Amino acid sequence: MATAYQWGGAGNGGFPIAGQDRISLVRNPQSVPRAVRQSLATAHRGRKPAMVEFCTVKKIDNSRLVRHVEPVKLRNLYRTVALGGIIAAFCMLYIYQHFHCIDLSFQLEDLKGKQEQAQALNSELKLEIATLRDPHRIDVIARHQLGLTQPTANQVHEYANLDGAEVAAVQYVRPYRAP
Amino acid sequence: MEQEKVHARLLVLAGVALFWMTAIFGRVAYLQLFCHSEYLARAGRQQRRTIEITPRRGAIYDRNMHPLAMSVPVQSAFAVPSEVKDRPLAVRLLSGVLGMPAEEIREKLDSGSTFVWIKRKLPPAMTEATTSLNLKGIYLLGENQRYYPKRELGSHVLGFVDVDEKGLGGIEHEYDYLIRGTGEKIVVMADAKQRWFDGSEAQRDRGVDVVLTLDEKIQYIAERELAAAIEKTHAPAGTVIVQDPNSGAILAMANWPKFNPNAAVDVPTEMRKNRAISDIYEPGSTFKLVTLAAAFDQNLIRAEEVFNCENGAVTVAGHLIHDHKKYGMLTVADILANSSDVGAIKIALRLGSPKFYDYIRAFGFGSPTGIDLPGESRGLLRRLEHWGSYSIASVSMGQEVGVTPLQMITAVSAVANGGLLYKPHVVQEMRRGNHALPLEGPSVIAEPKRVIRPETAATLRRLMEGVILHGTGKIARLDGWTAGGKTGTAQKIDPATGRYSRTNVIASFSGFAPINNPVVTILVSIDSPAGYPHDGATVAAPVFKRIAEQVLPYLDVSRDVPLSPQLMQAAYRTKNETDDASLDDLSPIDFSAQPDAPEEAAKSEQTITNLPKSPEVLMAADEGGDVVVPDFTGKTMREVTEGCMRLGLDPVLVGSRVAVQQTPGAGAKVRRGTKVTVEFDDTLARPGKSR
Repeated sequence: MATAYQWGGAGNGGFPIAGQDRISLVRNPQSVPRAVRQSLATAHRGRKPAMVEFCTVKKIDNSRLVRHVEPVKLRNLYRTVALGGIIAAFCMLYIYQHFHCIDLSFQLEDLKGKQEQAQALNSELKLEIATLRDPHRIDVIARHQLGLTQPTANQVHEYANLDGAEVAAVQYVRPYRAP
Repeated sequence: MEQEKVHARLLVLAGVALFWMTAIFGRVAYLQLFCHSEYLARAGRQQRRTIEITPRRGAIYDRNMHPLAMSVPVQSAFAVPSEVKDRPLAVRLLSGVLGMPAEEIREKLDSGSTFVWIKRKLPPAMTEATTSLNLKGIYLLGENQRYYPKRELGSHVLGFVDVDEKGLGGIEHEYDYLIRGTGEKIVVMADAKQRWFDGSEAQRDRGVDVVLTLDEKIQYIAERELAAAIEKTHAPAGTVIVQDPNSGAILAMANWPKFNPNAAVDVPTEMRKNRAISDIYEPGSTFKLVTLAAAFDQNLIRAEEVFNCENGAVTVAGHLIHDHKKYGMLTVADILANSSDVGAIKIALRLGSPKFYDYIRAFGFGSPTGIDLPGESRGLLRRLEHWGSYSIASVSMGQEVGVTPLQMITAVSAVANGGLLYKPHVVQEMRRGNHALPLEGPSVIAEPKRVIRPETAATLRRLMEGVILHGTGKIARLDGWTAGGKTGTAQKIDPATGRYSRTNVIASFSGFAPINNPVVTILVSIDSPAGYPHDGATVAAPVFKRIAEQVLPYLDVSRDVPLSPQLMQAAYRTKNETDDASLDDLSPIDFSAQPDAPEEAAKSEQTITNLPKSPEVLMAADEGGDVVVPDFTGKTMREVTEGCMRLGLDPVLVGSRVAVQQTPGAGAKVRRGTKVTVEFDDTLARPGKSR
């Protein structure tokens, strides 16, 4: 806040006048003794003052600054800021996604590796099953280890004729049964 | 003054900034607009790797979806030489781990290529060891290794692949473009540490799975019995084919010698040959089926018609032809049963060359069958205009004509199924994942072609049954099922003399079972069996019997004739002998209880051939038949139909007017629902027309 000094005129004894926009060095001019004030006035009137003091007053608007902005400009400003913010957010999101994507790609490759390992294990197990089901292997085990022999003709008995659901069930189990 | 200085500095700063920005953006614009493609390519080379790997081949299954060939992921080691810093160390370590000469690895690394295979398709132990080395510039890449888990089983049908998984034989070759799949590439991005990320699998496309008509059990039975016969006869080669006569589907195709497709590269080419479709041989007496089929179809002969077989010798176009036995008067049925060459020649002469040739062509001889396997031969059949005066006689008994085993069994199947010639095929279905694909190319199953009338086929089936009941194929008689067939013993050409060899023959037997509703057709061909006798009746017929007696119960085919007491005793005796047999003997039944030699067969001929005619014996041996088949001879179609319906039988009527033949025969005990084929003939009503 600017401080201005102004010596008042004769009316107030040369003292700064405390006004609305002024600040007096003397808080209360009435508090100065009258004799002093008269002597000073007399001295000024009687002879040429030794030094003229000017007291200039600078008007300073010290009230709150309220700028008048047009609403359209303000709205455009808000829009621009919002747009910029969105673009910035998108940029940030893009950058985040990009690096997150790379990070996920590493994870994905890792998972793919595990998946391939699982698939390879699955394939190896299928291969092992197929190998174990080799008719020649089963035949040799049956004959050599278990001592089984081919059934003779009269040891094979046919089932009685089935009908309805039983036939369907059997055919479902053995789809390539001869007609 | 001071303010002017400030302004000047600001201007200088702004100018520098503007220049800097202009330079930056100018450079960016230059790089983006003028050098874009160059730097994009350079970045791609640095960051992106497109690696082509072997596509994963589809699996091959049998008709019950049992895998016969499948691919398993394995790892292959490769190097990027520019990334290998310490080469001597890498060479030394890799040499120790992979078991390769160091010099070989060094040469690969020094080759100057950007990508070199170090070793492909590593075993799991080597893969782990290579991974643990963690060498810079040495990588592992997934590939696929083809395995055939059943080893030799069906190897000639399956084929094999090379190290690049390219099909080189059989189904692997025929459908390589489908099984192999399209090119498989992996595109990966690499970071500064050469870690891969963002791998692309968009171009992966696994091959098509192929489901075959083969049945691994039947295939094994065929291969085992063929191997047993080869071992017994010391023959160098042989073939067995089992076919479904009602569709042309090949259920088994066994060849000897066989090979392991897992190590096919080391196998001689001769062993990898699929003889069933590529070997041409003179069929011999089995070709008499074609001769008789043509004559029957043209109504030129009847089954009961008698021919004079000239006591075993006939002269045609100045050539004297001797029969293998001296036959006198024989009916047509006996001509086929006893395989009389003279009788067949006389029938062919009555038929004439043009019609005979047409039937031969109609049965598919002289042209490939179109089976979906590579390397099929068309056989040898001279054009009619090139036939000599003697040719009709030769061809009628199976000489001067070359056939493949597949052609022969296709023709026999046509007789078995009632006269329809089906295209033989081994592919049943193509699958991608769980979805069936439409068949394409050679796997498309064409409509069957009728080559003979159903009546002709029925007559031939009956005559072929006679071959097994009282003809040359008695050894092939099945225990519990009716069957028909024809033996064949074709002399091979001796390369040294250019004449027919007396010792080298091809013994064959073609037959089907059961008679009424054939389920399987089986062809057995043994090339050059050692020892004597080496005819088809002795060598090939027992193989047919063994295979049929295992395949028919496996297919749940009900017995249509009771077990014969002799055979039951033989089976009982066999069981005891088998219990004491050596474990090394893998043959299922010791058929030593049955006569192999013709002399022994002749001794037992009387008892065996009389069995179906004695209902008392049949009753004693009956195992569950609940309907006695009546005698339909002389009855009309209505009477036959009514009789069958009353007894719960399923009549199959062939011909018209009066019943003359039936199968099963009168007195046979069968189950309800059994098909009874009754053949009618109108010649009995008009006796004057018969010859």
